[in-house]
Amino acid sequence: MEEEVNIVDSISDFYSDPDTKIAILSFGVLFLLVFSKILLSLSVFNTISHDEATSWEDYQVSFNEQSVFFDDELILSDGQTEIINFEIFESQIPEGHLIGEINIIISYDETNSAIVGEDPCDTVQGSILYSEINLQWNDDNNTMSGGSNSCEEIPLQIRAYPDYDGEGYEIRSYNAATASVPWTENGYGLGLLDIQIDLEVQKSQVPTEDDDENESIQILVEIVCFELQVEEIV
Amino acid sequence: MAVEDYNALEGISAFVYLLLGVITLILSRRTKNNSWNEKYAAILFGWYLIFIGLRTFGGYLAGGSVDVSDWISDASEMTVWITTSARISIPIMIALIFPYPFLQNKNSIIISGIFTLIFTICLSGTYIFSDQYGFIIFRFVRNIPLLIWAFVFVRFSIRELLMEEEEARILSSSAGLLIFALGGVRIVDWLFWLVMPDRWIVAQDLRLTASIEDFNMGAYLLGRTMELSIAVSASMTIFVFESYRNYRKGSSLLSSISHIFLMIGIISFFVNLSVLKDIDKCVYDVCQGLPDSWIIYNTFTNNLAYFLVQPLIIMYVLLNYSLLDTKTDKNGTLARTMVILMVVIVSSTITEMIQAIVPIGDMITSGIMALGIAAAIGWEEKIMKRLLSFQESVNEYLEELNEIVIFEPDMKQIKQFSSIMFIIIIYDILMSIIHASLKLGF
Repeated sequence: MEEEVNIVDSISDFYSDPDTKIAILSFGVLFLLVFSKILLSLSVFNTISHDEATSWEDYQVSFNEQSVFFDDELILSDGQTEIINFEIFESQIPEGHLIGEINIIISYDETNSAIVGEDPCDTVQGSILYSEINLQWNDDNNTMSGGSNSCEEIPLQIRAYPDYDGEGYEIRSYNAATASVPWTENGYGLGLLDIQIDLEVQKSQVPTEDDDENESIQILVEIVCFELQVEEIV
Repeated sequence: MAVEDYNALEGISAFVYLLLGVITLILSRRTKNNSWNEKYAAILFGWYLIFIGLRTFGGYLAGGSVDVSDWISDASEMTVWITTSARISIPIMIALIFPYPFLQNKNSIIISGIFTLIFTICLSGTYIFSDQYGFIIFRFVRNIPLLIWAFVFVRFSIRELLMEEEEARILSSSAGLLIFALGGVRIVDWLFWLVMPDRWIVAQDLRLTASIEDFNMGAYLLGRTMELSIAVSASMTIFVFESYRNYRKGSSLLSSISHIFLMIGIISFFVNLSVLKDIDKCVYDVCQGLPDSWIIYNTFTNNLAYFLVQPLIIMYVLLNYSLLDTKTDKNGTLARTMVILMVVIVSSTITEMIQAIVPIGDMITSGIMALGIAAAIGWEEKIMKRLLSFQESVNEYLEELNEIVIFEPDMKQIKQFSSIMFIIIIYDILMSIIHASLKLGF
């Protein structure tokens, strides 16, 4: 053979080899059988799951919230800065729940009493420190730091699950499972959360009962967990 | 844990593919004595490896596992679409040239180039501007080379086993190996796909198509059926023929690989059965993903088949079926480098993957890796000798059958083909920049 061979002739030569024709044909038949079996399985036998995937309906997505709390108390002296860690494990989260957001309340009182008048409240600053924990660090709604010099509570907040705000909404989707797809990612909010606390003692101008050198500060961490509920709107 | 392992594997694999692709192209350029089909097949394999490397690297960057900017992530997404299109069109042309030359034309390489260019532009365009048809066409076309190779395997296995034509084995074994190389990912679950593909496919793919209204489920299922039925029927045929051949003539690399896939397919069937409850949740309940244990198993089977088995088998085919000339000193050194690199990368990857499951210390891992490197260098000569001891060409037997036209490879056309491949890469770069800047498509 020295000239070019047309592809059709080449294919026809290949398939018309008299010694192997039956085997080639048998493979062709096997392929068609397997093709038919898989096609039937996918499109005819399991029609229930199929139906679930072919028509769009309206669904109401809502969240059942349940909170898990951690607390700690520390005594800081004037000018001291302390970093406190809370480790959040998967086992601490209620079953079937994911972490939506983390709220932190830093509270304190002026424990020292002035003999005459009032001892002014100390100044406390609190902030959530960036760490490896999987949170939405750049979310616009986060309150990453705050402070008080009037003994008011200092609220901090950080979003854990992307776009989670606890509000339900309506969506068009194939079924409840596909409507729930954005809310099934594990791992958000798990890890070590670092909170930094600074104290500056405000001393009274008049004599006090004790030396106003330190203050006790309480930290309450609320892990807002959510369980997804998806219902078809009839 | 498993997700990080998968990502690391993806990164390593991209490097392996790109390196192998470049070495293959250099070696094929230096190969002077091969006939047109071997030369063209080597070049096509080289470019296939490069595109699959680019695709894997693009997937690595776009997958969200590495901390990159949105711009890079979007650009990588476009790279994935374009290189995916190129990497499924090239094997179709390879299957028409090697091991059996269906396309016996002096312009074969330029036809391959034009086909790849048109196919890549059309399919990547479909990916960009349709939210579903690119995906459907991809499923439909990707295993067509396996079907062609399966016919070649059957014909020449019969010639070897029933008509006692020993040389026919060269064609059947190369076709069989290529089926496992390119279809290994689907063949890993061959039994499951054969027995109960419905529950898995509908549930898993529902997640992918959840945001697409009016999704053409009929066309999609047809594409999936085509993809799976080719992989299943081809693998079952090889299992039967290779078991019979093993019984009659003893084991070979292909029979060993086929038996491994046969066993893994049976094990995977039970493993997949055990997570069907989780899969059903994705259809009828809130989808919570699959258990970590399953993901680890999947990393060791499906992902390993794609990321490591495929380049290893392609490398073996390139070296063992005379697609590359490794006899000259210069080429021999490069081929040896390729083998050592592969051995080292495979041993280190497997060690890392084992470490992910059994947390052994870094010192021990480093020790094991050092052992792997020492073994690769120490036994390099032996590995190469063994690898190249059966270097065979498909052409001698095809000439005996009078089914091949032998002519000189056209160097001018090879250059034109390379230019077309560079055009695809430039097209990829430009489109990636445009996509990242303007957000093309749906």
